[in-house]
Amino acid sequence: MQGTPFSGSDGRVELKIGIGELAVIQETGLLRTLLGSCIGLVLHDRQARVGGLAHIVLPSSNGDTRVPGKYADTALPELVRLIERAGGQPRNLTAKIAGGANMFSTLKMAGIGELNLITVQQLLQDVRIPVVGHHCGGQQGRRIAYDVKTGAETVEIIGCLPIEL
Amino acid sequence: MTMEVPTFNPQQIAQLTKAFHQGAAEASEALARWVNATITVSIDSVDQCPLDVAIRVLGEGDTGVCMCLMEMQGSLTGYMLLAFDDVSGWALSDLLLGRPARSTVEWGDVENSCMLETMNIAGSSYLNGISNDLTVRGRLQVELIPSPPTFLRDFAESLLQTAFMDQAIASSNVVFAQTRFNLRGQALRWTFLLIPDHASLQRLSVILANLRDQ
Repeated sequence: MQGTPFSGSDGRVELKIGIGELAVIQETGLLRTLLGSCIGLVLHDRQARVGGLAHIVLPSSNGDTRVPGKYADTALPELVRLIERAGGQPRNLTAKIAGGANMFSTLKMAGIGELNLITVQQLLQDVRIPVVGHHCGGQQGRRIAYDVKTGAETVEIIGCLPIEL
Repeated sequence: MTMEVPTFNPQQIAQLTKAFHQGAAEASEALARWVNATITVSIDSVDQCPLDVAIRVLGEGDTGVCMCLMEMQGSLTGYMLLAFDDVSGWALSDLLLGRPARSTVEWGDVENSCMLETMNIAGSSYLNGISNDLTVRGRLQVELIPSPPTFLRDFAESLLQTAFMDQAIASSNVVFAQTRFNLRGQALRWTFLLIPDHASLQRLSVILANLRDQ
């Protein structure tokens, strides 16, 4: 499992998922990450209480499999594989997506966030995983936290109230 | 497979550092005139490190930071950014506006303008210094043009992910120059970063190969 563990307030497993990382947890615990133009993809199996979070940086791996969480086309199958291994079923999975901001919208990297988002949405459609929540685009970064017990995802933006997906 | 960013050897890093020192020196001089106080370069380094290390250069990722951002255009392209916390930004605004210390407690148009103009002065003179140094030592015209600055306030890690994105497309390692400043002998909590894009790293390799020490 990737991610940096840190102490939860009530003894739950809490992992910080770094850029290009992914992790899967069961029963109880939180996965957190910080996003700019990157995409935070959460897959959740409500019945098995298993789920995972990938911090996707770029749309395509172009065959590079060294860091599967970094690319949309490798992160999705790797998340599904790890969830299955932990007892989840692909047919029970739902997805939530956050991120994909165009933070420097007037500058040259404008559009990478949108491209990440379109790719993730297409890949999810291809494997028939429904998207049940999303909070994407805009010009600001996001801090997200996924609770595997409830499937809830909290999205925080500086200067705004937290939103639950 | 992704292309790897060229790794600079220690000699090339020393040459690059020299150019960035020149940039930082000119930025210090211009900033000293702007704030009417002595500003000196505190730290100036060129770093090559994995992306996940670089995005923590401003501290904890979920810290809220302010950033003035400029695009570098011309012979080399990429970003320059000046990052600072609220208190440091407000302190500079107070100084520039002739207000008593700790008067400013929130960001408004005037305070934003103070920081944007500070970045404009720092960034333009920094690029000027680098451009002059590389032109003289490389005996070729290196022209660097700054864009107008923009003001952002967000999570540190979110901002840096985006700033390093162009290099991250090509490699898991990133290259950047980091400069800090002292004002009247006190370390300022500002971090000035210059982040060339991937294409510029390749151009820099060529430029560095032709440099001569003066």
